[in-house]
Amino acid sequence: MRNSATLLEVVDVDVSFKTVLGPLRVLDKVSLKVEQGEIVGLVGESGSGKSLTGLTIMRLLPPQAVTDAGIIRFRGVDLLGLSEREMRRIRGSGVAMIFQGIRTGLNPLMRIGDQVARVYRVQQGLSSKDAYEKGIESLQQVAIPRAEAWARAYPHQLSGGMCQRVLIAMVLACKPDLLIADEPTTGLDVTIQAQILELIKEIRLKIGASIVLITHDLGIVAETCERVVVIYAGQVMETGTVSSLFAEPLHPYTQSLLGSVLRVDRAVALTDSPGTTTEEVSFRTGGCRFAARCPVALPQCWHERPLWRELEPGHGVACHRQV
Amino acid sequence: MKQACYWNWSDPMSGLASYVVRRVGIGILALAGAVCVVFIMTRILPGNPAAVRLGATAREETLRRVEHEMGLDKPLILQFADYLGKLSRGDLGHSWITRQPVLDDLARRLPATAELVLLAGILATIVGVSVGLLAAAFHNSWLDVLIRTWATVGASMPVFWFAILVIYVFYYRLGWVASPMGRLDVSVTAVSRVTGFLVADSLLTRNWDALGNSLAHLVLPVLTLAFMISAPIVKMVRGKVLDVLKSDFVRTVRSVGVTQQEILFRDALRNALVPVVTIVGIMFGYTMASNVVVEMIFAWPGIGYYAWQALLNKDLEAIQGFVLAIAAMYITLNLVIDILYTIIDPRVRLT
Amino acid sequence: MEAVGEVEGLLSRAPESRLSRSVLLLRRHPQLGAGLAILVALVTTLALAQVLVPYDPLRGDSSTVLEPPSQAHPLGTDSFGRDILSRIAQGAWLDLPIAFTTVAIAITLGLLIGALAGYTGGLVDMVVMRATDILMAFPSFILAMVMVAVLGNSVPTVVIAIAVSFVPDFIRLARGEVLSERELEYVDAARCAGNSEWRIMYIQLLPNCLTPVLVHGTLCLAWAILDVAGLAFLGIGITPPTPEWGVLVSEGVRHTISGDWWVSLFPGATILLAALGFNLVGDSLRDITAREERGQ
Repeated sequence: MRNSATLLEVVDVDVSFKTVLGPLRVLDKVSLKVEQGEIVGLVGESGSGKSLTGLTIMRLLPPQAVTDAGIIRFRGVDLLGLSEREMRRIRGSGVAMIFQGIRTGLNPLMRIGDQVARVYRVQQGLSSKDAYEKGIESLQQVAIPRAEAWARAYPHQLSGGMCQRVLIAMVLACKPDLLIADEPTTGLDVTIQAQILELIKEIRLKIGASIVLITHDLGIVAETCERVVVIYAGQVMETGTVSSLFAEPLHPYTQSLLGSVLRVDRAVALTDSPGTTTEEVSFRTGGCRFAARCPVALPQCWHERPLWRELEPGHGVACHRQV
Repeated sequence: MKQACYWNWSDPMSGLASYVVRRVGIGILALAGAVCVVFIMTRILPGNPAAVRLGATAREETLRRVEHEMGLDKPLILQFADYLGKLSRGDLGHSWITRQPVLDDLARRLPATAELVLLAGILATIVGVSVGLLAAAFHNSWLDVLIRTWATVGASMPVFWFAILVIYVFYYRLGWVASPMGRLDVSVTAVSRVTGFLVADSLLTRNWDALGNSLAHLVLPVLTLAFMISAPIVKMVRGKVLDVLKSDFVRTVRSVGVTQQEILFRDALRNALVPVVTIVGIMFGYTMASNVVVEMIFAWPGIGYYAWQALLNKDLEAIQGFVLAIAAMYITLNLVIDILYTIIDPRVRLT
Repeated sequence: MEAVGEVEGLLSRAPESRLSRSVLLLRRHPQLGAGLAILVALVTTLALAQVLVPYDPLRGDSSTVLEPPSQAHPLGTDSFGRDILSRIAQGAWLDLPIAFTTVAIAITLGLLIGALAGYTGGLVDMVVMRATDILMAFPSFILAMVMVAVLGNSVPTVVIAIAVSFVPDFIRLARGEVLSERELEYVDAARCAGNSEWRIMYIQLLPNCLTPVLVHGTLCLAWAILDVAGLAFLGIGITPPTPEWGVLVSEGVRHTISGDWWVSLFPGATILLAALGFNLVGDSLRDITAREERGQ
């Protein structure tokens, strides 16, 4: 199903936040690639910068954030060089994003039918009546029963799973080429999670969108994604196909992540990574940010950023230990 | 979380009727309480009302006579019963300054205050909401800082001082407006009374002199009052709009390519204004308080001026009547706002 | 946004020393610095006024009637020849203590009653709530106005009247805090350890509302000053010749209309600055405590 056209290429992107204490580098030379039609998982713990990466691609960062360096090539065009007006045209129909925070993502004072219809109006320039009808169609497509009746409901009357479907419907209305889904299943119970993930996979089939799935849950990644990008404290640690990465993780961080997941096929001791991410992000640039927590850190890890190495085709890592 | 499937689709207002009834009941209780408090204030608080009226130099016999006139020598319960009885007949007592029934006094003066307060309120709302929106749209710019400063200064401004300042600049130095004495110059032909609103009445009776003159008299008091009222409005609108702009659903909408302009006017404004409605009740209290001072300074013949005269002269029945009228308006306003709120905010509707 | 929140969360952990934390606080909240600066400047000027411009605020000099600001009289003189700066400085000894006393009384009463109501519940709570509701049916300034008019013009009546108009808010505040904490486990634990109900109510639960009380209290200081001056201007409460700021403004009204602007301007400006200072501090305290609540 994959053709060789690279849809999205993020190259060495640096993002920092202006703070009272100085600039805080939250994304440090982040790079990733998404090919046409694939589902890529972006994995990391809280504070790793995975959501911020998504926001950077959409150029929806808050005003105190600055993109210092890098290129984000989407369909060949550098998104970082576009004006706000041009970027607005790309948002929705080119790249679209589903956010964390499900119920709050909908306007509490507007009926959900109107909210979906609005997307059609903005994206396709339809009249209110046509947009509303198409909206109802979208709701049916995301498996909301009795869509015409539910379209008149308000968000607080919906369950979490239904809210998420509405958000997906809104995104579908844009027919994006690339969909960034930020923790689409957090806060939902397991059965609903599975349904939402199925829905997301269907999106790829129905409109041929590529998907970046941002999550902290490796189980979801294993089940849904084809390739994985592992990020820690704003630095990409390892990327690869799901099979090769899960079978043979090269980076110590990936190893500890996988070590903390229970496996059915072999007996593995659970490992635990001491310390939290956020201290690493604070104000240090230079060096590998995992050094403080790394069980096998070398002296140079602290001040020399390891170079990116592709040890097998499609499986790359940034680590001084993998030379 | 509510089982939304079981919600009664055919009757979306099913909870509303019972809420209204309950709320009106609370309002009536509050009004009853207000009546009691007003009574207590003037009878039970230390100080003999008759002595208060007559002053410290009154003679014993005069004191006794006035006490008897005022009904103060009867037991408290009987006094209260008297009071309630009179109230139910719409008798708020008599002002001993004007020698008129308090109710008539208030009714006659109400249009003057209403004209002032309504105009000031509308001006303050329009300006306040626009400026608040502007400040939020240009968050952290110099304009935002300027507007925030204006709002804080407005909230710290002594209304009487501001009025004097305004009179000094616009009347004394620039001479742009009419003299700050009342609603109409004596030299202008009187306006026949239709509504009591001078602007409307002079329009209706084609009294152009009066129209111009009454407007010239309205400018300063309206501006003063509007400035005072606008400060909290600006602050609140700005705060709420900023909250909405930072919210998740605006982020959703922005990510599907909606323009900032549409976001400001459709989402931000609407979502921000809904909670702002709740402060209308508090604003009314604040407005009436400022209004008393404004009417006093501009010699405006409204109920605020009446109240001030009554207070200075210890005209107890007039004070009572005024306070009761204000409390009644306040309670009714809050009632209406609460009910209105359930209609405009769908989240509150379900019981 | 969560991502942004995490970033902001870092900042609260960064600085180590007390001094740098205070500096950071002031930089993030310039209003706080501005408010404190205004208040300090005001108080210093007025305190120094007694030293630098030693005129008797109560005794007039008929030779220097209604003089505009000059070297001898930096803020001019009034219609009795009294130096206005001295009068304003004298007035500060009235307005500021009155404001603080009023708020102190309101806080004490409000917290005591509110905590009792919230903790005890039942009939006591209902009575207190209904009484508060009724009190709140009257705009606070008008309530204060009427109380002073009925009780008579003097400083204590003004203090009581304004304090009463502030009490309902503090009752609500205390009651709210106590209600939300009442069911938590540590209360049961305290009870098991033998604490009396009074002790639990006032020593364990009440301190939780310290921050909102601080914020609201500071704002009440600003309102107290405005209310006292407003009442005095109307001739209610404090009356001439007491040099209260509102009285000073009212003394100058008829002169302003005839061109002698300084008599009202400076006292009024003082009221504005004092209220402004407290408002700025109160607003920034509110922002700071809201931030802390969000874990930033």
